[in-house]
Order: sequence, then C-alpha cells, then structure tokens
Amino acid sequence: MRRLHIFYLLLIFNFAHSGICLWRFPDKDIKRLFPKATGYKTEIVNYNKEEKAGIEKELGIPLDADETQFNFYKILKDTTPIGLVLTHSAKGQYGAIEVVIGLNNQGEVIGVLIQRDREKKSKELRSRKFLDQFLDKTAKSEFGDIKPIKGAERATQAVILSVRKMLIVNEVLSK
Amino acid sequence: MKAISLLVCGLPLAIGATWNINGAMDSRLMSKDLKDYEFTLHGSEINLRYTYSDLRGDRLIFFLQIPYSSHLASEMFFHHYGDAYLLLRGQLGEPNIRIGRFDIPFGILKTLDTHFSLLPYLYSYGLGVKKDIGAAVFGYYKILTYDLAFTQGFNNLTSPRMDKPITIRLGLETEGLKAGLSILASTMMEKKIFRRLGIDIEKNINPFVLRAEIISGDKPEGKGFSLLLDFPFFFGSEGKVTYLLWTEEKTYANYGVELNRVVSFITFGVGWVGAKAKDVKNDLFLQLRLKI
Repeated sequence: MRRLHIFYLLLIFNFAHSGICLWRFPDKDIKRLFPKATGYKTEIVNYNKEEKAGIEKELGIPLDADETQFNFYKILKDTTPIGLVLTHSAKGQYGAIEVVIGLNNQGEVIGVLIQRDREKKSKELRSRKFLDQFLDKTAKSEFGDIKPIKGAERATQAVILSVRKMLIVNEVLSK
Repeated sequence: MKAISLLVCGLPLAIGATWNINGAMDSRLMSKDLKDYEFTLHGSEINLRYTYSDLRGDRLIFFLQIPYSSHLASEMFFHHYGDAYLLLRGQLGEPNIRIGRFDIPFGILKTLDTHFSLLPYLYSYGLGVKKDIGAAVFGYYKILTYDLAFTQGFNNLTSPRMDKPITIRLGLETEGLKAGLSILASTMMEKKIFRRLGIDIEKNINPFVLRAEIISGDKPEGKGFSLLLDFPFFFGSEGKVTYLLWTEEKTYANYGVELNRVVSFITFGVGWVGAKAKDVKNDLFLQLRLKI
C-alpha cells in the first residue's frame, strides 16, 4: 500500500500542471463583453523560459509560482474570432479578487468585470466609473492615470495588476 | 470497430482539442478529543480535462478525476472524490448536458465547493448523497438558473441510499445574492417515497459571506438547517464557522470552525468540529493541501 501511495504522489508531481483563475460565468460574461458573440474556444497556453523572462521583464515582478500556464478564451462570432477573454486572481484587502478581462483582436481592453471579491468597497470596485478607466489600455499603456477607490487602494492595485499582467501575457504569448 | 478506434484515437488530435492536467493532495492530522492522533492522506487526485472545440467553439468537455486515499473505503472519500463526466456544451445561453458522476444539484452543493472543507455540511444528513451517477441538464435564463438531474442514488460504493432520484433546482443569481429552491424525489429501496425540499441562500455582506440552508422531507421524516459564515482572518488567512442541526430519529447538532492560509500552491488549514451527541467526539484537524 505504501508503494502505491508513493507511486501516486510521484505521478501527481510529474504530470500535473497548475490551472489558473477559474472563469465562473463564461456565458453571462461573454454576453456583457461581446454582445455579438456566439461561442468561445478554450486554449491552454504554456510558455518557455524566454517567454517567462519577457513577461517578467515587462511586468517588473515575477510570475506567481502557480502560474505555470494560462487559459486563453477566444471569443467567436459564428466562426470568426472577435476577441479574447483572460481571467486573473489577485490578492485584495479581504481575499482574492477575480478579474475577467475582455480584449479585442488588437489587444486593447474592451471591458473588465469583477467575478468575485469580498472588498468592503465592492460596489465602487465593480462600478463602471472605476472599471471603464481600463478601456482601450494595451500592454504598452501607462496605468498611473487610474484613479484609485478611496479606502480600497489595495483592491485598486490588485485590479490594475491583474489587467496589466494579462495584457502583457497576451502580448508575449500571442506573438 | 476500426472506425470507432480511429475516432477515439483521433479526438486528441482534432482541431481545437485541449488537454489539461492538474492535481491536488489533502493530508490531515486528526485528533479525537485531543487523545488519539491519526495522520491520513484524506484524498488526492489527478484531474484530466479534455476540451474538444469545433470552428464555432467548445463543444465537449471530458473530465476524469483519478483519486487516491489512505482510506479508500471511507464514506467521506466516496462523497468528495471521483468525478467523471462528459459535458456537452450548448451555444451561449443554451442548455448544457452532463453525463457521468458529478455533484447532484441540490441546495448549497450547487453554489459552494465543499471538496476540501474540514467542516460538516447539511447534505450529509439531509440527503446522504453528494456525488452520484446519472445525467443532468443545466443552464440559465437572465438571472435565473435551472438544473435537472436523474441519478442512481448511491451514497457509498455498495448500498444505495435512494432509488433513482430526480433532483430539480431553480436558482436566482444577482450581484451579491444567490438563492435556490431544490426538490429531490425518489423511492427508498423498500419502495417508500423519499422526498426532500431545500432552500439555500448565499448573501455577500462584504467582507463576509453568509450562507444558510434548510432541508425538510419525509420517509424518513427529517428536517434541519445550517448556517455558514466565511470571514477574512489575520495575515491573509480566511475562515469559516458553521452550525448545523438535523432531526430525523435522533437530533444531531454540529458546529465547527476552519481557518485556511494559502501560500502559492500550498494551503495550510486548521479546523475544529464539535458535536452535541454522546457518541460523537470532537475532532481537531491540521490540514496540508497541495494544488499542482
């Protein structure tokens, strides 16, 4: 029994790879971000050492240890790709903030949604006033113009990090 | 036969086919009344997910969990491990079909992941079943969700709790509030009717999440409720506290608290579960969880 136990653990460590932030409500989110969409296609994207270095250089911080691969959700209108959805989970003041980011084919943000958070200023964090500040941002954009939510500065930074990181990931891995 | 073999072998190579493999391991040090200590590999899993897409998007997901435990015959292991299903995805907004072994869509099981939790939940008293083999249809319309499942009724490997139950859940989901009405109807093995009605609510009162569930039914007559509060704790850790009461022939009351701290792919947990019953001991848990 002990041998079976050890064999199983080795199997897990050898073959298992990390998943990234779960996309909880794909159908509903797509309808909000891409009203003309008819479907989506999941692609799991791995990266090599050079790509990892490229992402981290642009981002200025290392990727999290569990970010070993990324899910790209290609949004389709019939059979034509019209955009991309990426998801990310960052640490807020009161736990994880899960962010859904919609991009057009040019890699520009067309919408940001919060799918889960526990912030006291959740209403402000989910408001269009805050989230619409990310519209048209690209991997090369500055984020210093994002006005933080008063009293929720850490949550603001978490959302900025999520959007910026996924824009950079998309730019590097879509080349 | 040759054509089927070619089709099966060709699926992973089809356009848009994606494989994903991940895993988890949940080991626990458990103490009864701070006297007897036991270390267990409560459960571990390798999860294989195959997504097949055609030109119009994802169409089929095949999910297989290969579980292992140092207590393979335990009811807890049977409740929490062993998902294996095919998910046929409709177009956006259309119904989806799931066939295989999965969580039955009753009450809080639909909105809360209890997979690694140290706490007791009402379904184990009220239904006796968490995962079951069968087929389900589910989807949403605006803020409403619906689930319909036909399953076998097994609560452990050998003896069915029910005979082919039908489960229906109608839910409502808005920002910060989820609620559901669930009905399960079946016959027991002695051909008695087994029915359960459930109401579940999840309300965000940030930074807290409050969950409540009521289950009531007959043959055997039983009723109970549970309350569960999620809260942020110190140093980025999170906690849950619960109280549940179930009355059937006897009355069971459980209460407990669990704290978790996630550091990268490792989760440290500590939990304590108490019970108001002479024959039930208090359990203290230390948990180490790896997500890979």
